[in-house]
Amino acid sequence: MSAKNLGAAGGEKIPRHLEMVKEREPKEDGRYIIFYTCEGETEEEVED
Amino acid sequence: MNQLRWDPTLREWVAYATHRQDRTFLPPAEYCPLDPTKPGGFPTEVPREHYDIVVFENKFPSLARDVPEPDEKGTALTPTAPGLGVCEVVLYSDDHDATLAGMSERRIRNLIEVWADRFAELGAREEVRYVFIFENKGEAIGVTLHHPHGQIYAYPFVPPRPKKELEAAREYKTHSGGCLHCDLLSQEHEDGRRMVAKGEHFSAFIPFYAHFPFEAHVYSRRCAPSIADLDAAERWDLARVLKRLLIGYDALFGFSLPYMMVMHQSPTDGEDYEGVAHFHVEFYPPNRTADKLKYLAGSETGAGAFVMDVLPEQTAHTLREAIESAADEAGDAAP
Repeated sequence: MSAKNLGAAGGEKIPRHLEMVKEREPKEDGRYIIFYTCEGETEEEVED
Repeated sequence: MNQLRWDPTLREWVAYATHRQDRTFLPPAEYCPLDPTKPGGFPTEVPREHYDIVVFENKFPSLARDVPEPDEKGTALTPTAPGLGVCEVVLYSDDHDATLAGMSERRIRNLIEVWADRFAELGAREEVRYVFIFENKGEAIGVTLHHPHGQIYAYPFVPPRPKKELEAAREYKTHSGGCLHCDLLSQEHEDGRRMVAKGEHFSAFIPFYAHFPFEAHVYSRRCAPSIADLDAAERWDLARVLKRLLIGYDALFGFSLPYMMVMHQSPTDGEDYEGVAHFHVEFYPPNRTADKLKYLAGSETGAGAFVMDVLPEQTAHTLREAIESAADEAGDAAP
């Protein structure tokens, strides 16, 4: 790993406080798209 | 074509991305490229019927991966460089008409998780020196798509404004031994007149030296260098304070307020920014009244000297009342 300063993150997986699924897919033109989905929780299930 | 040209008079890079002239401009809602792709509908950027939060590479990037050396070589005085970097679009929701202000604290907190993840992933790239997370909202700011979204520019250099701020913070630390932003925040807490929202870990205020009438800064109480350094409680509290500020903005003039939202944090260039970089969010709404905008005119653009016609103490009072009134309507207790 490079000596880059990324604080606590360290350039690796961030400490996750949520169970989020991260799915990375290529697009046809070479770009990427990432889907972040919060597992097991929906807007309707939780009252703020 | 992505290239950087050096301005030796201001000592800063200017990014050129000529393909951006052809980018999608205010399409009808039914042809929004940021909506989910519906069965039988036209293919959007997102090939799913529903999504939670999505990040993708900008189709019209100001900076890009794997760009060649520019054809224009420049000179020793005015060199050029490849416009290397990454430009991402962050879709906050698949609901075309949603706004950040109208989202639940939980969704905003999830978005904070995504921003933190993008900071870590993009900042780890060898060519990236600064991960800049921002949102332009409203036609007054020049947005070309209304769907709720923000952007991330991963620059191959530390951009001028954060750089100037970091240099001031480093000099302050050298002379006083303390963090400039921590001391500014303490001063705002002690004074109180410009404070607009307080949480357990974050505070929002209109700075003593605001450059826009309703400019607000959201500071972490702890001297955390970046969004990725925030712990779970801090992320929740940031979501709460952002939500409170945003509903107050929308209550100010009775419409969804345009703004620029930017995050200032530690560069990712390998240098030590402990006690220098202090994560915070800055909002610059252009409105000075419901129907009048603050323009960056001759003095602001040509001289770099802002001239304001209202004091931060006055606008903070107005914004604080708007926040409290909006919170009362929502049945929320003041933090």
